[in-house]
Amino acid sequence: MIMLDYYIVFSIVLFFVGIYCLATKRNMMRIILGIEILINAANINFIVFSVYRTEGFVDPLAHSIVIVSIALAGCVTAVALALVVYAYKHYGTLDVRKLKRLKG
Amino acid sequence: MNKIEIAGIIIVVVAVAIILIFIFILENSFPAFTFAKNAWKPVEISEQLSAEASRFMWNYRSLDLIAQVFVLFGAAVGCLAILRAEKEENE
Amino acid sequence: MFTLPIDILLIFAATTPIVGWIESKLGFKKLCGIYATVGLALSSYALYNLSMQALQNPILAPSDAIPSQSCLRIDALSIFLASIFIFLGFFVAIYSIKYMEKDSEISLYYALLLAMISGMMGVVFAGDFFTLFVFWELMCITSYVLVAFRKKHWEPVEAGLKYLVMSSAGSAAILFGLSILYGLTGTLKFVQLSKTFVLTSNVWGYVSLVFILTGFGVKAAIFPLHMWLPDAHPAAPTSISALLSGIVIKTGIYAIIRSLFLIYFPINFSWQTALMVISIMTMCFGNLAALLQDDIKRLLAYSSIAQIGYIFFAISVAITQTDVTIISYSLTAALLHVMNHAVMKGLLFLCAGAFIYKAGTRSLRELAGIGHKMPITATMFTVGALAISGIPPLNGFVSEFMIASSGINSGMLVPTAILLANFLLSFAYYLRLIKIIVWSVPSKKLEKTNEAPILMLFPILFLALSCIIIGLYPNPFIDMANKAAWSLLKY
Repeated sequence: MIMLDYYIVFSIVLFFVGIYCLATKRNMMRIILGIEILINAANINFIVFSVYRTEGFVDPLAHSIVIVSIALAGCVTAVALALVVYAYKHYGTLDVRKLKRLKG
Repeated sequence: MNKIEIAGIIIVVVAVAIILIFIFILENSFPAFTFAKNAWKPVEISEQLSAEASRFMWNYRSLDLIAQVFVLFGAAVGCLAILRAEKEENE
Repeated sequence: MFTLPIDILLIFAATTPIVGWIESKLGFKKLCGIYATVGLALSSYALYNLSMQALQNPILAPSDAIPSQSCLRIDALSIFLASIFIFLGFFVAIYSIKYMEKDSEISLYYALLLAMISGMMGVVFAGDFFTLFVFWELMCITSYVLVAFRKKHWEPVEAGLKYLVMSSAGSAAILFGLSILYGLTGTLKFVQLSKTFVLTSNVWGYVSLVFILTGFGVKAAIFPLHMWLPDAHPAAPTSISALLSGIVIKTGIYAIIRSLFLIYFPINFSWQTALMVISIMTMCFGNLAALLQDDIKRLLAYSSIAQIGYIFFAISVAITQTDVTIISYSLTAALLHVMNHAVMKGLLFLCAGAFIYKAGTRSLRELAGIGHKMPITATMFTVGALAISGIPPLNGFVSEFMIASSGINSGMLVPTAILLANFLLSFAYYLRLIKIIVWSVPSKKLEKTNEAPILMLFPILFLALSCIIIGLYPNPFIDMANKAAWSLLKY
C-alpha cells in the first residue's frame, strides 16, 4: 500500500487550503465552500485511518463517524446559505468586505 | 507590486509551506494505532462491506444517529426561522 | 435514548412548532413560551432525579457498551454543569415570553432555544468524543440561527454570519483533531482514551492537542480567537445574549477541561506556561476593551471575555501543579466561577435587556439615569455589577477570591498580581456603569419609561436573589464544585 504519511500530508495541506480560503476569499459562497473543505479534510483522515488499521480490514467506526459528519456539514451549509440570502438582501452584494460595519 | 508578483510570492510561500509540512511528517512518521489497546470489530474488505458498516452503525452508533436527526431538525427549523416572512423587510 | 432530561427537552423542542400552530389558531400569544417553560421545568425535575444516582457513582448509558459503541457518561461534573444550564435556561424562557412577544414565528424561537439547551446538556453528558461533537453541532447550529433571529436589521445577520464562519471553522478543527486522535488510539471513547493514551514523547500528541484546543477555544472565546464574541453577543436578542454569555461559552470551557485532564494530563507537555500567558492576555484584553465601550451589551460581552480569562487562569494553575490538593482547589475555583459567572452575567444581560426593552436603545449615553425610572431593575443591575466585580457579600467575591488564592498557593506571584490588577480594572468599569445607570440625571427621552413588566422582573429578581444566597452561603456550592472537580480527576 501507499505510505500513510502521504495521505496525512494531503489532508493537512487540504486543511490549510481551507484556512487560506476562509482568510482571503471575498465571495461568501467561497467562504462556505472553505468550511466544507475543512470538514472534508478531517473526513479523509478518518477514512484513511480506518483502512490502515489492519491490512485487508476496515474499521467501521470511522465510516459511521464520516457518514454522520457529512450530514452535519450539510446542516451547517444549509444554515449558512440561508444567512447568505439575507446578507444579500441587506447589502445587495456577496462581497464580505462590504460587511465590515461591525468593529469586533 | 502588480498582481503577478503577489501571485508569485503566494505560490512560493505555499510551496515552502507544503515542503515544510512534508518534511515534518516524514521526519515524524505517523504512529498509526500505536496507542490502540482496545478491542475492535474489523470488517473484511469485500462486497459485504457497506452492509456490515451500516449494520455496525445502527447497532453501535445509534446514539449519534438519533442526535444527528435532531441536528437535522434544528437546521430545518433554523432555515425556516431565518427565511420566515416578516411584515416590513426594510431596515 | 439519552437519559430523561435530554429526551424531555428534545421532545418539547420537536413539538413546539406544532404548539405554535395551535397558538396561531387559538390566538393566545403566550402559549409557546409557557409550553417551553413547562418543558424546562419537567427536565429539571428529571435531572434532579438523575443526580441522586449520578452523584454516588457515574452512570453509563447504555451500561453494557462495547469499546467502539457510542455512550453517555454522567458524573458529578456533568450534573453540575447541566443544572446550571437548565437553571439559566428556565429563567431565560420565562423572560422571553415578554421580551420576544413582538417577533413573529415565536414557536421556532422556542424550538431552537430548547434544542440549544438540549445540545449543551448532551455535550456535558457525552461519554464519547464523537457523541460530544454531534451535540456540539446541535448547539452551534441552533445558536447561529438564534443570533440572527431578528433578521430585519443588518446587524444580527452580519454578526450571525461572522459567528457561523468562525465557529464552524472551529468545529472543523475539532473534527480534524479528533481524526488524529482516532489515528493514534483507534477509539474516541473517554473511558478508553483515559486508559490507553499515554503519549510520552510523540509529536502527534501535540498536533491533535493544538487542533482540539483551537477548536474549543473558538467557542470559549480565548484571546486570539475571540473576534466573533463582541459582535455576536450584542447583536443577538438579549435573552439569547444572556444564554450565550452565561452558558454557551462555558461548554467550550467544559470541553477544554475534559480533554486536558482526561487525555493530555498524563503527559508532561511544556505548554502550561503558554496556557497561562493566553489566559492573562484574554483577561487583560477583555477588561481593557470593556473600559471605554458605549454600547451596554458590548461592554458586557467584553467583560465575558475577561471572565473567561479568570476561569482559564485557574485551569492553567491546575495544569501546572503536581500536588493533587492544589489541583482540586483551583479546579473547584474554576468551576465555581463558571457557575457564578453564569448567574451574574445572566442577571446583568437580563437587566440590560429590560432597559433596552423600555428605552429602545443600547447606547449608554442615552440610557443614562434610567435607574430613576426603573428602580427595581436598576437595583438588581447594581447587585449584579457589584457581584461580578467581587464585592464581599456577593457570589463573585467567593470564586474570585478562590482563584486568586489558588494562584498564590501555587507560588505564581506575578500572574496573580496581574489577575488582581484585572479585578480592580473590572471594578472600575462596572462602577462607571453603575454611575451612568443610577446616578445620572435622566434625559428627556426617558420620561415615558416605567418599570419593566412582571414577567421580566421575576427572573431578574430570582437571579439577583441567587447571587446573594450563593454569596452568603457558599459552602454547599463549593462542595458541589469540589465533587465535580474530583470526578474530573478520578475518571
